[in-house]
Amino acid sequence: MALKTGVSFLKLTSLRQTCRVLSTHIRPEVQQNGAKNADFPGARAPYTGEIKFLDENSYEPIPIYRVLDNNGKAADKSHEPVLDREALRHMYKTMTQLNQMDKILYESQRQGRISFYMTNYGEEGIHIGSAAALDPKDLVYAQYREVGVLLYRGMTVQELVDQCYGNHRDPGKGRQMPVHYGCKRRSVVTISSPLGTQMPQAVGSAYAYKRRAGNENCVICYFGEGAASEGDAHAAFNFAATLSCPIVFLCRNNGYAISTPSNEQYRGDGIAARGPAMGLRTLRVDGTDTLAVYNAVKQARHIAVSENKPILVEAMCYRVGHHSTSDDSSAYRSLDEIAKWTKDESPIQKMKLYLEQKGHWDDKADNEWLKEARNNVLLSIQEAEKQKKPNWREMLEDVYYDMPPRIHLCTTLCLQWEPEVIAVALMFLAGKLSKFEVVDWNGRMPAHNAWWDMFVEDITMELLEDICHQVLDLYSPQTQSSGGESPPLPPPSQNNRPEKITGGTPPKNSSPPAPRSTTTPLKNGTDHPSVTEPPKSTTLTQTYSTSYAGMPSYSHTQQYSGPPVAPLPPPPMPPTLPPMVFSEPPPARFPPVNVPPPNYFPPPPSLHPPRPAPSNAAHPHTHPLPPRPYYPP
Amino acid sequence: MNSLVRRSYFLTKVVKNVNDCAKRFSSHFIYYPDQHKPDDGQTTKMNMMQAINNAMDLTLSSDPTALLFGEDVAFGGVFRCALGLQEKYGKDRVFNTPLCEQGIAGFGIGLAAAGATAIAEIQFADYIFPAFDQLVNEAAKARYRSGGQWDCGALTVRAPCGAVGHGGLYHSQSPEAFFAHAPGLKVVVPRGPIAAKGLLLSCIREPDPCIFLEPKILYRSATEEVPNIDYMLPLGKAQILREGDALTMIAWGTQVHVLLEVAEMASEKLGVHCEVIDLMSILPWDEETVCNSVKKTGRVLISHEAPLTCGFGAEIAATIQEECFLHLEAPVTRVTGWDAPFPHVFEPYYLPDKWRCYHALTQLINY
Repeated sequence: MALKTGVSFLKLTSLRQTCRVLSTHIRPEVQQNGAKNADFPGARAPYTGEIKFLDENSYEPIPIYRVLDNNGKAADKSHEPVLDREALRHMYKTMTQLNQMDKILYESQRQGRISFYMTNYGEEGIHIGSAAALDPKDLVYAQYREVGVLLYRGMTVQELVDQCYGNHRDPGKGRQMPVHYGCKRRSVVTISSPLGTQMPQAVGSAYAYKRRAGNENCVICYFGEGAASEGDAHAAFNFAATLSCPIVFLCRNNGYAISTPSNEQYRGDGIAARGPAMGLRTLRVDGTDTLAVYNAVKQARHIAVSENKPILVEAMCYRVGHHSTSDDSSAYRSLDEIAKWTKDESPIQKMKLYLEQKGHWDDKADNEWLKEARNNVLLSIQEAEKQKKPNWREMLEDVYYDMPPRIHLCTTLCLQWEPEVIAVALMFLAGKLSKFEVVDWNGRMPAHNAWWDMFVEDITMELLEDICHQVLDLYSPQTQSSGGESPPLPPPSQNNRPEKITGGTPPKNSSPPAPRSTTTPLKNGTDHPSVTEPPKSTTLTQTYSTSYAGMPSYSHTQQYSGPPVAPLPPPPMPPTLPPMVFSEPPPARFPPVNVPPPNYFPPPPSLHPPRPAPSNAAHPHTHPLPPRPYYPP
Repeated sequence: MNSLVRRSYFLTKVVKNVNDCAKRFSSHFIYYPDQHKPDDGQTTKMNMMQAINNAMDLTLSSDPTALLFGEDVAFGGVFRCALGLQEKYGKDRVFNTPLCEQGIAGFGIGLAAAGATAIAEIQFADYIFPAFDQLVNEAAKARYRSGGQWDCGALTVRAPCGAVGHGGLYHSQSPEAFFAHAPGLKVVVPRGPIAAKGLLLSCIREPDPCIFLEPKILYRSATEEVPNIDYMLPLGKAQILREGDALTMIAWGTQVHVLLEVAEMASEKLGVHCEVIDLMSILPWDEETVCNSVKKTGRVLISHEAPLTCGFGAEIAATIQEECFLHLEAPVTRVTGWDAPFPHVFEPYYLPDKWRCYHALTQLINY
């Protein structure tokens, strides 16, 4: 009996074991050490016998770090950053320069000189405080309201204005809307309009920086509290934390995403509250206090670089201006509300008071500087308006490293010349190739020197040869030198062949020698290389108050609706350039599209030994096919 | 003895059952290995998963900035393409990311912008759509919007695509046409191990961001003798796999093999010779090879697994009628998936299998 029981017990045990083995249900082996602390893979936390839901009131609000009070006084002297007189003056001057630029460019949009603009009023402290705390080699991923960072890095007002005008000096070649700046030389990634997309990218760059030998730099990523609602923001925080990237996330919480106030944007204690939840070291700072932002970013940067850890800084501020020139914020907020932030909490005012107390600045210096800053902008605008537009060919460049044939074939010639001109040139080419010359023809008039004069006047031989060469270049295989099978044309005037026109300064002789007839427009649209836009005759009325009101004067919009008035009076040249202004050479041009990059196809011969003799007729791609024309006749 | 017989009977029954199941779930095509090798040197027998693994291995060993990342990549990836690479190259070069496709794409763009070579794996092409914004608005436009100052050409996004027999709606899609509408991207689909290795190495070294869509059914079912060396196949070039004069058939990925079988059926049953072109590169695509072939044959059949409307076949058809209108003997025909989501149990009816293609072929020939 006992034996029987024992056997059945064993049977049951083995059955249980089998069930366990076969079961797909996997139970984690929880070590409940004394039933106090759980050790789940997802959380190690104590057990509790109480149901308690947590919400935003379960924690104290995250405090806001500040150094200066509203009167520009440092409450705790030990927190004053160690910055010398020149550095502080430079910071203040950049803030006011930014402010002047905003005022004038905003108005220039209202006058129709530029298509769009976004002001930075009320957030100058964040820009300049953070930029001053960074190394110039730290990579900046900006949103669109961080132009102060670029100014502080040495971008000139002229460069910024050129971008807004989209002239040929804009490194982006006029492709993007105004305020989409970017400068590789100053480690500022070109801004794009979609919100939040820059955030995971910044994390990726930070990871690449971390892997560099002896890395001493980090990445800073700016974004607004509205952009933090995008999925990309969550992705970025999570990636930065899990992959330990040296990055500083700087949130500009300015209270509004266009018209949506922050209390309709999120619940909980702001963006900063998300930091600890996602494993980011977090600090909240007063964004109207330039020195507090400076201290915060300085320390954040130090941690990021030395420990390869992500930091989140939430800078609280108020967007004093409209969202953009396409927005009128009086529709969703009161002027009283704005006034509070322009009077008591102006970052420029606080910085000015601080400098005055230190004896670094006074009203006289302020007036002089404001005049100079304003003139900087006005002169830049004058200069930008004189500049030509980028070459039309830039429309299709930079899509790919090499221009694919589908773009290339249809555009290179046909956008450039009228169809009649191309037709004449091709008939001319056909005649040359078949060694046939038209000597006489029906309907010849005494004025006709050549047969094509019947169709289009004023075509020169040089022009025809130029078009023929372009056609031959297009249709000959790229591996072949373009002169290989050229028809017996007279040697073309090579220096007149249109080379790729540089986006920077197109050489004067790069234009094809097309005689420009006033009666017969030979070219489609605009002449190349560039179009000069005559400066408009309306003047930029200088009605801006010298003291920073901190907000755009909304009534100004009416001021410029009248007819053009007196021509622009030449503003006095500033005696010396401000310290952050320096000239830079025009941007270098990428190599011509037809030249393959050196490290690209054809691959090194070792990788591609000569192909074997054709062995299988069913697979003709094994044979190197003879080059054949694209569309055989 | 009796029980032994009964047991063997059961065993036979089970084996038969399994075989039937296997038949039911077996692929809808016969794999045609490449006859041609891009190199005469030493080869190794590899399936497509191993060929891709080999391409990434070569990249990681030759390019110290190269990184491989994605969901579950550390242990080799759910399709095992990254097998053994983390052990070989370390946790900072081959690593898991959080489960977030837009994060993976954005992270890859940032890596490439900062000078690293980024190979990002999206677990299934069906899940690439959260990354659509990053790929279409950011990766594709990075060079253009900065005037050539910044780019993310060193980014390659790999994603398994296509029908697999039991994938249903969300493990079977072929999203190449979505990305073909984004100038700035390159979209590539290989048809087997040799092509996959050469094309992937090209994509990785291409100075433009590439989306490399791997037909997942070929990972294990396609086996070829793959050259051991590092070789590249040019992007934007189609390959003519079978020459003919009666009909041009164009496909990419798995569908190439369906058309090769159809071409064989046509030659056996009808005695007509069909030209089969593997497009290989969807964006930019090889107009020249296609148009020259169509001018020779006068008849075109385009086939892809993705739905008909606005599938990439539409673009090819439009270009063919524009360039070869007077050479055409019959309307350009497309045999594709239906305009419906990809169904699970109806997959055999949904796919443009050899019978549907053959039917279209006979109609084209007799037009």
